[in-house]
Amino acid sequence: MRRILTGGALANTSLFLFGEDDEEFHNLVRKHMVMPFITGDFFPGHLEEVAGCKYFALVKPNAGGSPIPNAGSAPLDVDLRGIVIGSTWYRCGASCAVAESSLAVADYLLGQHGNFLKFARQKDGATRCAQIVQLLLANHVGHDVSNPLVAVQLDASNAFCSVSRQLQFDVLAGKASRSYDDGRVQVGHQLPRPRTSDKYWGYFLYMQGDRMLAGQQLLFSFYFGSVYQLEVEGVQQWGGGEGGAASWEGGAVDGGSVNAFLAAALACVMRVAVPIPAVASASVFHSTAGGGSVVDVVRPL
Amino acid sequence: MGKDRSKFSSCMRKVLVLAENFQDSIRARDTLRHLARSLPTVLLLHGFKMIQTRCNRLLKGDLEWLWASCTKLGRARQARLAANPHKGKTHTATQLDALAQKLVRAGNYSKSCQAVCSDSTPSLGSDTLAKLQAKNPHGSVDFDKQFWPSATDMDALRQEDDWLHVEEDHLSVDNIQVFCAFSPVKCAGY
Repeated sequence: MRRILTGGALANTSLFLFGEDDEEFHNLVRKHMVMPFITGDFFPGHLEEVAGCKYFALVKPNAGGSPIPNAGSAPLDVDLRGIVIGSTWYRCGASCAVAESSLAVADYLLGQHGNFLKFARQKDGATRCAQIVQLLLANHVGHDVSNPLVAVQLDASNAFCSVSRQLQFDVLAGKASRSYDDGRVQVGHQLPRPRTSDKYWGYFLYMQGDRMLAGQQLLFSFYFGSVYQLEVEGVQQWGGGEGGAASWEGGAVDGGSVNAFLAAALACVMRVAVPIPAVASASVFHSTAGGGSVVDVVRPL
Repeated sequence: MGKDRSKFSSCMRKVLVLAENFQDSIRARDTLRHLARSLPTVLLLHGFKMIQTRCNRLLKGDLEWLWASCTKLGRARQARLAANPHKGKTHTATQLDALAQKLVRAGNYSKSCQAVCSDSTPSLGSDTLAKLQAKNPHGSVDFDKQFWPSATDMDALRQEDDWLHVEEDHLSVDNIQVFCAFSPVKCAGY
């Protein structure tokens, strides 16, 4: 019988290596398979050849026969969405790093934002909540076309390294090397960052092209870029990622339960339609509402 | 399967020991690490006999045969795909329902929600690559490095107690083992 190992089965091979009680071998695996992704211990000449992930594309959902507009300068007729699944070892390093840093990141955000809500022990809590809200809203019976209820999941527009990574490095370094946010941030200005992030400089420095992983690698830039933007623009928005935390700015979130968050999220969802055009630098990639799609609402972006 | 695992572990060990020997050459070390990351694909993609043969050849150092064998099968697969290309198919509502239930039972609620909410039809057209390149063009790597930490700064950071604690507490073999143990569960449904 022919056996083909793919996906999760291939991921199992990493578990083979820990099947025997061989400490020396386990240390070798740690040192050569995981740690390079943390410390950036790569030969520069090999960087363009690294293929530590699977890159494929999904068809992007259409609205009334026309594709949802793309962020940035991408042509309108690009009706697909790139998906990257990182290698087991890359994800392993990222997961360990995120586990270490998420507490510090959450503490930092809790100190900066009074209504920041942390989803304890849930690696993708924000995404999960967003999807649950979408599900709830899809069945909402009180939909009014003239005043639609909208769940908008805003994605940082820096996915897949296609935008400047300078901001990412500036955030990690803690200083702006150029002007940001229509001149409100100038060269040399301090950028908010927790102390924990600088340990992973190599991780970000050697992150490139096809070795990326959506979500985990965007942790810092997503959080800081997004939250910072929220601060200066005062736009209702939620963001989150693999850090086990979700932020909610502009909403009245009290308590720490998921139900409380969902209730508050739904309350804010009802008000979010109007401020959308103000989120100029964010891309809307998914929206749902009771009674059908409301893509027209976000199209002006 | 036990023999496969044992052979595979032996191959991985051989490659990693070799990488360990090249402490002074990042190029050789990184090349061997690439090989180690590719080993599951190189050794395990075919049947039991082929796994045994390839592992034995690698352990004997017969890399030329291994390269020829892999490239030959790779070319054959490419030819088959060219003659009969994959076509993107959407799941039916029944299939989606079953998939969502399966994911929920595996504890993967996020993926389950995604399966219900998202349209996951693969794009397999001849213009897919061009469209991806148009959507995600290469970003500039000409960074302003005036505020970047120097190599000395990073070396100093790696000597700090804080980093040593992180290595010991969060980047340990135990933590990696835990990740690997739960990784297949996370991948359920992929």
